[in-house]
Amino acid sequence: MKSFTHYDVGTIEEAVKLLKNYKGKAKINAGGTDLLGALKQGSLRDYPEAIINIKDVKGLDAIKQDKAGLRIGALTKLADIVNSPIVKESYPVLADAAKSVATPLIRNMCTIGGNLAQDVRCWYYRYPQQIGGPITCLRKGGKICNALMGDNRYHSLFGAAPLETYPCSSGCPAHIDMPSYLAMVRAGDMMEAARRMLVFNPVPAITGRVCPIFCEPECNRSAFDEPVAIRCVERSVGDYILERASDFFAPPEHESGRTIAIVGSGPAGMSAAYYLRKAGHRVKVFEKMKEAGGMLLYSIPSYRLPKDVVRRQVRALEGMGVKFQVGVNVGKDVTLAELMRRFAAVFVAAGAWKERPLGIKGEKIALSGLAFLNRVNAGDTAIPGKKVAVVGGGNVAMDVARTLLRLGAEPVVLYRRTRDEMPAFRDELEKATEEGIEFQFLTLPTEAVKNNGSISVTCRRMKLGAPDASGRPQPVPIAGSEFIATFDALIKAIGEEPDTTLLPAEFSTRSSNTGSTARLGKNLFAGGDLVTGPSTVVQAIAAGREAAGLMESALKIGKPATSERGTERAFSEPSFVATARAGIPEASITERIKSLEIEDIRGLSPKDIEAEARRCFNCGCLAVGPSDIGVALVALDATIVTTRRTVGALDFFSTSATEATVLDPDEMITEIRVPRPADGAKQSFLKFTLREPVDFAIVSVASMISMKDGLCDEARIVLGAVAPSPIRAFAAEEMLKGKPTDETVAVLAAEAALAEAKPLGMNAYKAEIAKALIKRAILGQPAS
Amino acid sequence: MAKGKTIRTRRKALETESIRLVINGQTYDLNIGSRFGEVEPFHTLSQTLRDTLGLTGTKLSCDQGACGACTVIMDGHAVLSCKLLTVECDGKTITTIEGLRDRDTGELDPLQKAFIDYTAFQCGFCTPGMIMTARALLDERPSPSEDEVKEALSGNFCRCISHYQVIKAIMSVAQKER
Repeated sequence: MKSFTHYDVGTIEEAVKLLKNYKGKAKINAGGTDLLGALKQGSLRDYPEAIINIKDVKGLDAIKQDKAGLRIGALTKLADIVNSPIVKESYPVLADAAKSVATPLIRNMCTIGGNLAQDVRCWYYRYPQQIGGPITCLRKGGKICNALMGDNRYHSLFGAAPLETYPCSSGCPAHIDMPSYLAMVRAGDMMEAARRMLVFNPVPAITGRVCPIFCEPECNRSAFDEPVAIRCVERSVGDYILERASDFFAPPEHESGRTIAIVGSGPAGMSAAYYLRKAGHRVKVFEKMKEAGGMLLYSIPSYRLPKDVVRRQVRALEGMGVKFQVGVNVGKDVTLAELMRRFAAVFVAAGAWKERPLGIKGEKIALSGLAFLNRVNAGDTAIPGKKVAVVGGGNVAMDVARTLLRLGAEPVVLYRRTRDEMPAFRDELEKATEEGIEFQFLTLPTEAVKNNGSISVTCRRMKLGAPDASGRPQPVPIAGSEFIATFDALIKAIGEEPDTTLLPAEFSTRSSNTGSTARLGKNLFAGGDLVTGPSTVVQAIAAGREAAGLMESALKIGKPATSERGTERAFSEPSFVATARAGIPEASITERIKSLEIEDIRGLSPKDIEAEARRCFNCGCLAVGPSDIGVALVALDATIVTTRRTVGALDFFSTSATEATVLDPDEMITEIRVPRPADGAKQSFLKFTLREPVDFAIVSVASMISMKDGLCDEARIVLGAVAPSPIRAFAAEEMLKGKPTDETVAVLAAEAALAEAKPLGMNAYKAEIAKALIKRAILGQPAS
Repeated sequence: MAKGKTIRTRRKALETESIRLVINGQTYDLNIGSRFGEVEPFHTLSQTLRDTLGLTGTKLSCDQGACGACTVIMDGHAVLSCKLLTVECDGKTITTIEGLRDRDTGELDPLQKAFIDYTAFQCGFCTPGMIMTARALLDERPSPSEDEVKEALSGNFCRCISHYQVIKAIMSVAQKER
């Protein structure tokens, strides 16, 4: 054992105080039979800094019976429970469960509280340091539950304890619950997948095409082969939604009677419009341009995002009652103040359209990159010249260069740093490179002069210097390196910023800024690129959703903000298939550079999408709940009293991949309360182990069955060691009710209990054992 | 301990003061610390018995609480000395295999004799644990049934399969003490 600070405490209060001080880095020793093993093997995620001995705390080791039932102190030794005449007489399921734990020697030392709080028995998790451990499994902050594809003969039959936060969802600015919708895609239920998607993202057909992909780099599957192609699945779900727009974008059932104005119809505005309309508010979107869509329509080229997709998305929103008023320049045609008067709330999501100047002599000669994209997207495909210099290294520069290429020009990208420092998405940069676009790195234009119809651009060579505020190396001019290059046109694309002149002057202070959204006045809100500066579509839709929630709660006009989690789930359904990541089809380079309208990335077929969704691990820990006592306590409908709360035995055991129980780091069990069972109820605890004693349960079954006139009146059948926590076999209980407990019924009930089991590669035998034990429990037979 | 004594002073006390163990009738005051002959907070009782006090009759096999080789009797109960921190045994009365013989006459415990008479061992490594567990059982229940013996000894493992002879040996004493 490694060293630790050791404390003996005389009271629970002292122990809790210490636990609090140590912030999760101290462990309680209530008996030591589990803890000392874990310390010796170094199998805990973090070796504790302190051990707090509570074995000498007085008054917590009594078994008392009163009218309500049994009260057992948390420090009662299991040997005392086994030998207690009260427990043996009236609570035999508990006595038998206690007797099934380990050996008499261990039962002389271990306590009921310790048994309930013990750590899981997964041998990957517990792999000892003495023989090369620890194994950094999912439970210890690793990426893979080894039982998923490794040896899983002792693991769960009913799914995994899910991670509290999934890496994919955490990586996504919109926190889309990927495992949840991917599960529906692989089940072939696209309708439900779509519903789960829309909780987080109303425009998946768009993000599924242009998202720079925040989720896939976080995917735990990368530790095995390659990440799940999440964006490609998202795109299909998005297309599915747009094909059935009227189903998913239906007017709300109840109208709130309030109208909210949104300024700007880009992704932030669309997203806010969707969530506000869904909540029953009338929504009016004001758009300066001729058509709704913002950057999606006027900046992103068709080969990345077909205009048709954006238009169908706008139509879908119109279908649910969102009104778009185009050609209205808020600030000129109507003032913001007027909108604030006329509407319950105003959300300004005007984006970041103001281009930074080059700051060179002859600035006026340089054309605007955004204006060029606007024009092309509006249908004017005239090019400003054959050989065109594009200044900048961001996404707009890439869009401009690739658009020029498709229109027959020869773009040359001038960038003052190198490829590694370019802010453009890597994918865009790679595509531009493979399409043959010329790059001049470490090149800074300093002057542009018109010269007989062409443009002479004076450039200076740069070298990389010390890092600047952005962390990237600063370009430093090389003295005497000036040269002149000749182009037909010069287009600047060195970055955009929000034009905040529309907003009140106080905006710059952003007092109530929550990151990507801000409340600027009583009923004035802003969000998206306008607040953050240029970002991504998915960040904008997250901002729109957040703004919708912020507006509703700030103005008290709706229910609290939408929940981050799409659906409730107890255990996740783990899955491992060896399939390789789907190859995502792309248009060939020679084909795609011929036209603006050829989408460079293609979608996958529904069959391929299902296969890809199957690759999601649905990350979770497959270890089973370790406590035998817990299984009996659930059958007895017991409650567990802690220093903080009283919780039902079933709810006590956590279904999280990182914690075995719901106990907080500074919370302790103090007492177990067991209600008095109905008179004459048949109790049974059966446990199957590979060797007796000492070994842990392969399956255990605790049951309590009350009879009335020879028929089952009420039944509680609880399975242990088949799921991350004890589970009630509700289907079997239902099956028993009102029937005699005979062989036929017992067999049916056992089948029903395991009907939902999803065995892993090596543990299907556990289902058969569970059935046999349930049958014997019902018939009142011993385990063997 | 006095009421109101803070955790800090208690911790200090633990670091500087000693613990007292009564082992086989003899009192041991052991300082807590890292010097030779002292007990560290992370020492197990089996380590202290064997390495610090030289009482090597208590065996250490699995060191995980599964085999029973390290069994000693503490305050009347058979317990696993590998699963106890020595600092947590302050004030306890402990009996090890060395303490079973009659202190005055030097005569072996009847269980020890029976184990010899019935050759209830081959290599003998598990034997001290077997005998200590059996002693605690007979102290509590002088005339157990064979099933009770089997149950009580179910946490003591023997790789040489001496279990049959062990049961016979223990039953012979149980009948005598009856």
